[in-house]
Amino acid sequence: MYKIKDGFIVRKIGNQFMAVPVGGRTSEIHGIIALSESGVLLWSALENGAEEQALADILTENYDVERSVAEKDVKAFLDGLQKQGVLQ
Amino acid sequence: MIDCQRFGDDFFDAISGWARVNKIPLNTTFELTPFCNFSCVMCYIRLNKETAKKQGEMLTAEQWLQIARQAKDAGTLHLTLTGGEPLAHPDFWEIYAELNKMGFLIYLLSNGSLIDEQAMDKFRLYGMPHMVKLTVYGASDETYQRVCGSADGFTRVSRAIDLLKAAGVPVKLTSTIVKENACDLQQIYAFAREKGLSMQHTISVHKSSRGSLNTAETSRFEFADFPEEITLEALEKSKFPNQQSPFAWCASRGKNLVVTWHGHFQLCTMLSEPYVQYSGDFLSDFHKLDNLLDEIKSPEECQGCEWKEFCQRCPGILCSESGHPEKTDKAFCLMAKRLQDLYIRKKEETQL
Repeated sequence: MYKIKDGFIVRKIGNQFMAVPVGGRTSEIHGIIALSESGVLLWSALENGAEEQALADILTENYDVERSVAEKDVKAFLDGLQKQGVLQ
Repeated sequence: MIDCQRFGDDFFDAISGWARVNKIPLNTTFELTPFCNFSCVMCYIRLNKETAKKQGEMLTAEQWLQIARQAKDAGTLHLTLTGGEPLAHPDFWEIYAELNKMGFLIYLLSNGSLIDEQAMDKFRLYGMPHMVKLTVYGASDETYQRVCGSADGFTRVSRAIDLLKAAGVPVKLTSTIVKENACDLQQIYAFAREKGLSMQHTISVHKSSRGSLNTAETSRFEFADFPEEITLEALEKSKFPNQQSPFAWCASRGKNLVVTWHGHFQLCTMLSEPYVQYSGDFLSDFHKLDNLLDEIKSPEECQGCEWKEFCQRCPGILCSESGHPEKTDKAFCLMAKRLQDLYIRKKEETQL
C-alpha cells in the first residue's frame, strides 16, 4: 500500500498541475512538484492509500493504454514520488 | 513536463509568460501594514498613525484571508508578504497560519529584526516561507541607528539570517545604499559573503507619493555621482530606446498585483494611481485595474525631451517623483540630464 504524506495541496495554474507543500510539510519539502493530468488521478488515489495494481487500473480505465504500459507508468510515478520524499 | 519533477526556472519563466499574456495575477503582494519598527530615511511606504488614518482603514485579518482565497482561485501562486514590516502587523501570525494552508509559495520581505527564536517556532508550526528577502541597511548597529533609528538592528538581522539558514529557509539579501550608509558598502558585501549569501545593492531611491516623509532627495545617489565607476559601455547599454507604451519595460504588467494595507489594488508599490478599491471581487478588481492602466499615457513633456534616452522612468517612478504617472518632476528630469552630460563627456574623452 502506498500513501502520500499529508500536507500538500494540488493546484492547477494554466494547463499545469502541481502539488504545493503546505503547513508543516514546508519544513521538509521545498518547492513544488509537477503533475501531469494522469498524475493528478494517481495522486488523488494515493492520498487515501492505494496498491500498484489499483493505480494501474485507474490509468487503463481513463486512458487508452495497454496494461503493461500502465503498470510501467505507475512504477515510474511511484519512484518519482519516493525520490521527492512524498510517500509515507 | 514529467511527473514528480521539481519545477525549475524554465517552468517559472514559461508560466510567467503565460500569465502575462492571459492577464492572470500569478504574483500577488500583500502590503499588510504601512507601519514599521524601523524608520529608515529612504522609505517611501512607512506612515505614522495620523497620516494612515487620513488615508483609510487597515484591512482586517479576515479581509486579508478572503482576498487570499480569491487570489488563489484567480491563479496566484507566488504570494509576497511585505509592509512596512509585515511581522509588526498585530495579526501577522493569524494571517500567516491560514495563508500557509492555501497552497501558495510564500515570500516574506522583512527587515529581519523580528525574526527571533519565537518567530522560528511559529514558522515551524505554521509552515516555512518559501523564501525570505531581507534588506540590510548597514554593517553595524551604529549605521542602523543612523539609517533606521534602530539601536541593535544589525545584531538582530544577523541573528535572523542564522536562524533562517539553520532551518533551511532560502534567504536573499538586498541593500539600499544612500549617503547615510554608503560608507558600509564594502562591509555589507563582506557580511553577506560571511553568511554564505549573495547580495545585490541598489541606489534606486524615490520620493513618496504615498505620504511617507522620506529624505529621498537629500539621501539618494544618482548614477551620475559615480563618473569614474560608470563606463561608456554601461551608459550605452542603459539607454532607454524609444517606447510606444509607458509600460514597455514593465515586468509587472499583466501578472503582478499589489494589495495595499487599506485595500487598494495597484500594479506596484510605487504606482499608487490608478488604483481600484477592493470591492469583494478580486478578479474583477484586478481586470478593472488593468483597464485603467491601459489608459495611462507618458507625460507630454517626455515626447520631445532631449534627455529621454537617459531617463530611468516608468509610470511607478513618475508617480513617486511627481505624484502622478502622467506628470514629470523637474528635479527627476535633471537626473537624466546629468547622466546624458556624463555620457557626452565620456564619448568625447574616447575620441581624444
